[in-house]
Amino acid sequence: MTARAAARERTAIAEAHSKLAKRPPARTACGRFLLLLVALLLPRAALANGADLPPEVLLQAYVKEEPGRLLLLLRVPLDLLASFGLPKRGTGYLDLARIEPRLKDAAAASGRQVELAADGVALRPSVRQARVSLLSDHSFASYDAVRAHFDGPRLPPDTDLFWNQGFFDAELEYPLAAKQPHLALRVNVAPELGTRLKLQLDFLPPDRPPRRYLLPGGSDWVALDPRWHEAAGSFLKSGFGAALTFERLVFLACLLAPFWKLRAPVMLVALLILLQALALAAAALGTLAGARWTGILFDATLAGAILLVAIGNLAAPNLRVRLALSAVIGVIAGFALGPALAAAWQFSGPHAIVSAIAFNIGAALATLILAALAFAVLRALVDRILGAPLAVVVVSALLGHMAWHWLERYHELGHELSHAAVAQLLALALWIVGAAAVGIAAGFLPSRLLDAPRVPSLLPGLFKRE
Amino acid sequence: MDAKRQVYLGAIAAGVAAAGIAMMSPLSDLGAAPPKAGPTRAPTFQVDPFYPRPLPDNWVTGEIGGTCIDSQDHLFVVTRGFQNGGLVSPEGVGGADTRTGTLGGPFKSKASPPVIEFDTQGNVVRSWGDPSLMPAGSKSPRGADVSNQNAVMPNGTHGCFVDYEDNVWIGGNGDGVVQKWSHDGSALLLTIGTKFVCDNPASATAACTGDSAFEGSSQTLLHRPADIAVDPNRDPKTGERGSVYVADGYGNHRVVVFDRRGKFLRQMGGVGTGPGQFAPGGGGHPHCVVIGKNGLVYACDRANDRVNVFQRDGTFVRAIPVIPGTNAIGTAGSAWDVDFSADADQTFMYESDGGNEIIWIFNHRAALLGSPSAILGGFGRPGHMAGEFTFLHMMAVDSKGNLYVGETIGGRRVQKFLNCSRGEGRDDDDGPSGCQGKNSDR
Repeated sequence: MTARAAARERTAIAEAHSKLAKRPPARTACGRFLLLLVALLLPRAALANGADLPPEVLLQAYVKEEPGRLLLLLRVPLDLLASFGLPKRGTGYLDLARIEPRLKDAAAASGRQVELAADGVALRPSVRQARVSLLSDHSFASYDAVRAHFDGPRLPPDTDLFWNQGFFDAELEYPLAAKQPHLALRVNVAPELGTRLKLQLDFLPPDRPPRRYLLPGGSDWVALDPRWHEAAGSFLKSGFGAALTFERLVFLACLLAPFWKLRAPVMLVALLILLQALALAAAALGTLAGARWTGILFDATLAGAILLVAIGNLAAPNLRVRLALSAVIGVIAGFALGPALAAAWQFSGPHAIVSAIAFNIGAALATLILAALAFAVLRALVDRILGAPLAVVVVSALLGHMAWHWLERYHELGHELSHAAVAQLLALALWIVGAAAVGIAAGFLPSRLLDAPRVPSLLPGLFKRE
Repeated sequence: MDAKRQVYLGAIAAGVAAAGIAMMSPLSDLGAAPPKAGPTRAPTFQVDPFYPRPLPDNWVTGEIGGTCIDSQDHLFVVTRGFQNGGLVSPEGVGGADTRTGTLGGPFKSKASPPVIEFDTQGNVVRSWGDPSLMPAGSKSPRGADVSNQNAVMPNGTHGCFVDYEDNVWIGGNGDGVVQKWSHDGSALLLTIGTKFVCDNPASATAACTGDSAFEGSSQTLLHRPADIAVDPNRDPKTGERGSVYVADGYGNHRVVVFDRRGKFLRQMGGVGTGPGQFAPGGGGHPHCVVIGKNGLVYACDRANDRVNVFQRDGTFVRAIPVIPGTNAIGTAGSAWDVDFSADADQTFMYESDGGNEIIWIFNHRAALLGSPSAILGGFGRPGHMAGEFTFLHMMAVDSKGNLYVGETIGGRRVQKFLNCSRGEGRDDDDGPSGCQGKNSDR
């Protein structure tokens, strides 16, 4: 082979890898066809859910990267192998003397449903071992224990193991060509169970700290050792999704409704985003960690705030008051996003700061988009449909009414706060006081900034006041 | 031989003789190490008022006949609400929509399924059990009237045990069977005894009622079994794992041992107040059977206010007194159930005393050595509030050392007690988890 031909081949391989990296492995047309064929021909050979599964089904796995190979040690509750037709004896005990071939099939199916890829190329597993264990076997608590478990004896053939009350354990080996492969994993085990099914995965790289993931039964490709841009993209998406809610849209619509020009909305939204970012950064650093009530606190506060702002829209909307309100809501919104950030944290890898910033940017983007949407719809209503005062009145009345019904959240909030740690409540109170101070300080900006044109109120007309 | 030498030889001979006697004694398997002083303070417990979580679908539990723990620390309760007369008004009758006050329909309370599995937080994981009752006019194989008795589950469900393979065993103090169910209740794997037929019946055509004055000798029939334990270790006689020990119980007065296929192996017990015997009459003598990690078998002699301890081959070891005199005051005795702390040494023995509504905490080793100060303390008192008991019945301990206690008759609930101690009595040294307040508050 000439040097040029060799270079061409290397380029072609690189391009192919690049395409595979962009697409999930085995998603080529041929791959799809083969998958469909397998699904049609072997409908019974898949990890399927039975009709009577417990509310939570946990799979466990260790992925250990070693020179030249990757090991996947997987534990699956036997309930999920209901459709595999494992041989039985008597009243439903597994026939351990005849079970080996079917266990190998189950292990192969496991390899298809917990997929691994290196540098964008799907890896082909070979089954090293497959066995069943009692429900009381706790060897998947650590890698050393699970290694000893696979190296130890199997259950005696006369064990009375009922077909669905134990574990199926498989050891799969994947050859690795690269020295430092970029590994990814995708779970496709009974995705119809949604979050009821989770895979707890411990990734053990050779020269880096281990990482634990908790993945749903149907996951997209997850980089086990994410690069900074992968972490950033993933967290941007998470932050955006977490902040893009209907309640926030309603609040922003009410908040911005009376303001005619863009200047006041920009100030309000900027302050909200700024304080939200600060609180979110504090949450990432551990402030209010583990507080389960931040979500309901935000929901309840938002309901109250919407109602007050809606009433204010009918009376005398005051930008200075709204600046303070935006700041306080921003802080509470930031802490409310904390749990979503904590849930996504497993995907940050070594890029904690990048991930936190990306999440923050995602949340800010969502807020901006919601604000822009609210402003555009309001302007359309004012300019083209209802006219200035009536549009604000109708929108405020509708949204205020909606928020009135959301006030029942205070009941739950009261319950949750009664169990909250005093130190956490004090910390939040300090943040709220600080945010209010910032909001009030913003009210001292030059009056040319604050005297924003507003939609005229209906009150003077209603009460014959000037 | 001079006198000094004779003294030396005599001392050596006496020592050898003492060692030989000690080795032949049943207590020799308590360990070769010299007895330690052992703990002098009982672990502390705190009731978890939020356990279990609200039950779904307006379920009401009846009497909790049994509590047991599986390998995942899930609690199983056997509840009798589905039985004939298992609920009392307004249970199963009342219930309304809390928003509108609408009566009945989907808001009406109903008997929970016979078996409920809870996770460690008290959420229902599964529930199962066929609540069918025998139709009016039904007869047992012996011709006794069994109308309205549990058709599938043991009548008078009583005692449960999760074995080392996570199968669930259930007895019944109104029946002649113990049943082995799969963990999810989808399959009845084994029945020992014959449904509605009891050993030593009150009359030739009687069902499983009445008291028996006999130890019982049938190799196939039981008489109102109260509790079950399955030995995860090899049987001392057959060498097989999985021997089944049944507290047989309310009618007979023996602990009877079967192999894992239900074939009779041996029995231990008798009627009376002597060593290894159980109190005569009805009421659960023995009321519990438990196998310790030390390989000894503990059986509750309820009305004699003691726990009889045997070796697995049936050799009597000793009786551990609980609160003598309790039965005499008319509260059915003080020895109802036994369990142990979760540590490898099972440092503490817990004993549920339904006669006084107290969980007693023993220094396990001291109890086995016959120490009069083996009881380190206890908690509970008669009452209906959290942490109090009404017909305290059976109990179970999870791997963290937390205690789950079921109540029958007027209690009809299960309570969880968090182990707030550090060190001994727990299988970890994580310290208190979930316990609030100072020790003095508990």
